Amino acid sequence: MKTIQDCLNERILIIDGAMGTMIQRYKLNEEDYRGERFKDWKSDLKGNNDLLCLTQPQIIKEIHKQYLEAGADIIETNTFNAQKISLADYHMEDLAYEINLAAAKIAKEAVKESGKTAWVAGAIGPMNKTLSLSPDVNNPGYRSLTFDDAVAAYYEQVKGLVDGGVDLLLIETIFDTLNAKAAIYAIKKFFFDYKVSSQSSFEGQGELPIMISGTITDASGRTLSGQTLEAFYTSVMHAKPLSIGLNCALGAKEMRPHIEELSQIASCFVSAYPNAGLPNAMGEYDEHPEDTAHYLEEWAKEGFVNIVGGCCGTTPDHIRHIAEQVRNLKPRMIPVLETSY
Amino acid sequence: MSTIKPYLRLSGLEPLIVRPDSNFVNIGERTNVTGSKKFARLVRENKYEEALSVARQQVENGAQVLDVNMDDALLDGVKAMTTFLNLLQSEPDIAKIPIMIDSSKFEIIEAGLKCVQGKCIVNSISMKEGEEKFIQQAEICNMYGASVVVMAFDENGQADTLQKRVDVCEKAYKILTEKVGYDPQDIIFDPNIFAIATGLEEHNNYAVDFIEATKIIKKKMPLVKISGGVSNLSFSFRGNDHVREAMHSVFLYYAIKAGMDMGIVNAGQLVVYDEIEPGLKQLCEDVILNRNNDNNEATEKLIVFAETVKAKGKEEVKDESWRNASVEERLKHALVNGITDYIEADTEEARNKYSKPLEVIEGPLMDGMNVVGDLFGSGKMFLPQVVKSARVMKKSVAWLTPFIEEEKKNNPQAMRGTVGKILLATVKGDVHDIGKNIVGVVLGCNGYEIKDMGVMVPADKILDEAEKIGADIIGVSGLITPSLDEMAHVAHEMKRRNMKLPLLIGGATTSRVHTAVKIAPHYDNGVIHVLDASRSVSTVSALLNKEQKKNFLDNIQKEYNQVREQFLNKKGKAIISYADAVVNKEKIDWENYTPVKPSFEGVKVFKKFDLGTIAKCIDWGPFFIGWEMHGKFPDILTDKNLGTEATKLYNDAQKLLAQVIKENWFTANGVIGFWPATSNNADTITLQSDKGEVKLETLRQQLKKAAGQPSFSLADFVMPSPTPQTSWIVEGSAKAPSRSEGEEDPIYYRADPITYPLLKEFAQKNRNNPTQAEDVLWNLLKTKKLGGHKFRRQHIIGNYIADLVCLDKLFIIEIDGLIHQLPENKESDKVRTNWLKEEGFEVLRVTNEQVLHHTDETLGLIHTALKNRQSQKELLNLSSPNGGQGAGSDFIGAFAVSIFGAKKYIEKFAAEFDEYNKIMVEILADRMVEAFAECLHEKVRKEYWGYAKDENLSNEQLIKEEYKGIRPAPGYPACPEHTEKVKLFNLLNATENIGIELTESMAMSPPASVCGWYFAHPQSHYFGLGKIGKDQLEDYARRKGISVEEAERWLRPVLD
Repeated sequence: MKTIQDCLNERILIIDGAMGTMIQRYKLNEEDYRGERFKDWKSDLKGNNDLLCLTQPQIIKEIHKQYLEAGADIIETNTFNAQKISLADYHMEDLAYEINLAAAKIAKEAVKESGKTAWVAGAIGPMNKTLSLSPDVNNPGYRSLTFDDAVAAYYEQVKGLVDGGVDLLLIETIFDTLNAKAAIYAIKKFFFDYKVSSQSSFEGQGELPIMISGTITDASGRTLSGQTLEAFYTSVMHAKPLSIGLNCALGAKEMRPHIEELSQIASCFVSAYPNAGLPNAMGEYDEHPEDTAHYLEEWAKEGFVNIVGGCCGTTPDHIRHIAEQVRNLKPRMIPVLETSY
Repeated sequence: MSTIKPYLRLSGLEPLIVRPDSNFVNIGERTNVTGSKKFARLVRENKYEEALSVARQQVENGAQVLDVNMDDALLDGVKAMTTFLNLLQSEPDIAKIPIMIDSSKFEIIEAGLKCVQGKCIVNSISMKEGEEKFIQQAEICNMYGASVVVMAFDENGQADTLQKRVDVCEKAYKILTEKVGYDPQDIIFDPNIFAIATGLEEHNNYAVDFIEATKIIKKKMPLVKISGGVSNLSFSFRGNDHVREAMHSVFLYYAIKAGMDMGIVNAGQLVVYDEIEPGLKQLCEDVILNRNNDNNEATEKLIVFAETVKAKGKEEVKDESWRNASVEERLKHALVNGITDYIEADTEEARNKYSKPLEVIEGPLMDGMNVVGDLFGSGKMFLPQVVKSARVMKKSVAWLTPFIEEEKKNNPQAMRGTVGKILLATVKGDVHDIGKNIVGVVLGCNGYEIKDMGVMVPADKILDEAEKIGADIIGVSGLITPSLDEMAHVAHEMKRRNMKLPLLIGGATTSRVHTAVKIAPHYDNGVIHVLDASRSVSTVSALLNKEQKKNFLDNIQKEYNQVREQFLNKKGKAIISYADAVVNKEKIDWENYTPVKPSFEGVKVFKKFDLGTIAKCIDWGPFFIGWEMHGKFPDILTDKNLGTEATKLYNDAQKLLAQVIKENWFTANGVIGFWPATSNNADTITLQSDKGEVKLETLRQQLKKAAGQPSFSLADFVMPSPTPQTSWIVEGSAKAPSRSEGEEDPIYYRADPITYPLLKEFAQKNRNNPTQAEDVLWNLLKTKKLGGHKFRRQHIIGNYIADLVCLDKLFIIEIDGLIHQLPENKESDKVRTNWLKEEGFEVLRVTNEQVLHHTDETLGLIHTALKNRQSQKELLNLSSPNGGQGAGSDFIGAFAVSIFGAKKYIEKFAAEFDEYNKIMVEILADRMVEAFAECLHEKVRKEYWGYAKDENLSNEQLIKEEYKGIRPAPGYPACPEHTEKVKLFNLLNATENIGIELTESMAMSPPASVCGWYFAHPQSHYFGLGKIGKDQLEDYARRKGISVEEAERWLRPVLD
């Protein structure tokens, strides 16, 4: 089988669309979320989408399959919030490893059952707490989370994903670069430890490729933690990622200048999976698949991107249109990395 | 395909890229508890909010990286570092720059790394606790993505010699790049700045060692960076900031030159290198470079000086003498030194002195900022100092603004504000806006409505706003290099958005060339580089004038196309070797060519040539260009916009011209000449004149050309000599038979044009005042003739004057006085003799005594030597160049023409303040002389040389140069080397014959003069030489018998 690097050199790869949007379509209620195992859990569980990997795995697998069928080359595990810091909202800190392990397996099975060639990316989200910002306006120096705790939480998540067999690790929707740096640290530490003592059941050939996808939150062109795009990229370059990109918060129209900039400065592949436009007055995403696909096609023609797909509000339909539009377009060429001035 | 350079990239909220041209990265040192008492106290007292203000002040003063150090025995370093950095993250104006986490304790470093989202620098790690620990710490730093400062320190201690510094750094480099996986550009070495001038002699060379180590490390490991704590250097002058600042500034000046990239400095306190008082600067240089420092001499001197400064007390250190200068000088001083103390008073004084407040900005303030720009560009000022200058500038402009506003009220146009809307912005990634602000003020004063979007504005924001407000023009500016790319991006986006309005480009790093090459091609509706604020008004007004706009943009486009072409010629093409270029010469069809013999050989003079005849040949196109009216003649006369003016001008010119002709204001004198000539299959044309053989040296194109495209040289247009040269390198030593005494043969004009007149004067003096011996011998030789051999005396050969020479036998007699017996003179005589021998001469030295007391013996000696010597022709074994003078021999021609008399009328009109007619006379004289050259050339083709007797071309065809043969001028594109004019002038006897003179800088006087060579071959054509290589330069220098430096000076514009 060709490596993902080989394929990225040949064509634009498609990453899947929104998981949450698809789950909403199933209109699951509290009981559905709890399933048998957690029917007596002490807190409400509706909305804990990652838990569905344990309670409704067939739904998650079905969604994966829909995306695979639509043409996705990369599918993301349903683990956006699956580390103990975020899971603490549901008092489920202790389930973090298990959810990640299950999520990875479901996605791998979906690929297998679809009969297609695709990669499973272990989704590592931003956490519900940030390392660079104070939640207390009166005490800007305060932090609700320490770097070490974030590293520990991500480490456990990475272990679950790797043990479950993911092909890639995707640090995504980065609001705060320091959180992403904690995730990078955790990944590096995990593989470092793995090299030292092979206790994990991970049987890969080495470190897994890392994909990094930040989020420009608004028209300021900066991340939530205040960095410009280039500063953000500079801060995570040491991960030596497979790809750098942007996702979420913006629709394709708003994301364009940033993706263009990124395509100029990035020394690795560039990914982009915007939302289906900006939410309308009802908080819904209503950009038509053709429209999203049209924007992404233009980026591909300009040579900005290597991986495209969708984030909030996008559906298998969006992915299908995107895949069709970029199918025959050339991928962005990685700039030559010079070794002297 | 795009590329990414291996620069050191850091980030806070914003990126910082350290490029080779980044000058010097200032790392703010005040947020350091070991270095700043104030900061230490604030931290100890838990006054972190106040401690932040120290950081802010560093940033405001231009620090590009912030060093944070909490190493204090009384502090919990981990806690203090965490608290301070967490707080700092909530201050965007500080957190925008990268942090250098500075500690000798690794746990404090790691605590710091856990707080910062940006890419930090760790300061520092080293091998002092062994390799294993070093690797471990480096690996951790790498996991946080930090660049590392590595101290030149190992288990044996701090590296304190040059060798140790280099060795330790090299070892660390190997470990970091090979074992830890660091990119070389993320490694910053600190090769230890130690205190100097401590009184201990072993410390004296520390600064030199650092500077040398820097050089070596950068050479061996080009991508790494060099940093250091600068204030260590002056530790022994604690308490004497005046001396310390001077030492730092001098040290940095040299260290940066050696390759130091960054340093920890007090960003607010750096004296400008050029502004250090000369005495102190000298002392500092001696101490830092360890010069004149035997027995600590330099150190002692600096200490003595320091005492005097100290004794005066802190307050008096301030040198206020600059206050006595003129207000312009004071403003400049304040700008360069960043002094705001008097700026308002000085600005007010200037405002009263100048008639308009705007003139203060455009005059003294801009002048001052230009000085700042120059100093910054030459590495004598650093960013913090420039920031201070900017602050002074802004303060001054702020003082003037209300007055300018007031004035605007009296300007109805400005009040209406409807002349046009101009959107200004400093592009994304750049914060420099002084220039842009000035442009805004200047344009505002001229009645334009200005929308200034400020700094760091992304392209899409600029363009959105332009569309929103309906701007007429967009102006973008920037100072730093990456801004240039961003400007190209703006242009590109304007095209994508299908915008129509013009884009102005401005800012210190921008240039016409860059704009033409990199920006303009992105956008079709006008991209114009605006040099400075003063040009912005004319540019904007032309762009907003419906009638002028198209023409203006067309001209800009034409100009930029040219610039682009030139640039691409210069840049894009490789140079082939001179030898290859010669082989690649143009193939001229000589087989089927019979050279036409001119109607005469030698020269022909034309005095008072008929002005009316000349006037008919005038090319009127350049006439209008001279008046800065761009259009084609004669279409311009009926042009919709320019027609009326152009016609009026043309009529005036015709009227004046008629008067010039009728009243004989001008005298047209010219001279032409033809000589048999051969080329040597390389770049020498040898011609035979009545003054002997003259060699013209031409230059050959060396730019790599497309396959099948020859490398042009003028020499190719002259038929090659029938005996082909064995080598393309022609020994430039052929000698010609002599003519009458005292007249220098042109081929001996080996002396450079500067030396030659001196030699000539000297030779003349010697001739008039011969020594007794010389006089005796000269008279004997003249009368006895020694077998018919002619001698000359005091003859210039190369850079030397021979006492007596027989040119036919290449035989020199030197009569030596006592002075030649001195050892140093013997040495120089030897050099001279060797040179002459190389040139083929034999030198016989006789003494005064021999000549005066053994006269007959001496004559006998000379006679024998001459008899044994072969004649020149035999000596040089050249086929007779005149051999082909019959059928089949080629010729070359030359001309010089001049229009005399214009000066008188120019001065007359100037005295009458009649600028119009003054310029008219100037331009007409220029046109007339060109026409004269053209007119004579036609006569040459049809009549005097007669190789195109049947030519029948219209004036227009003539202007388009459709005739056969060319008349290139020395100093112009095909033969850009000016000193060949000397030969041309000599051949034509131009000065004597028609009165044109050649100045030392090879300019012709009167200015309305034209000279050039005539080539007749129908395949001859004009061309531009383009760049040549060093090999040709050296060969050319050798051929001309001048030094390479001299040749370089004359050929500078065509050298790479």
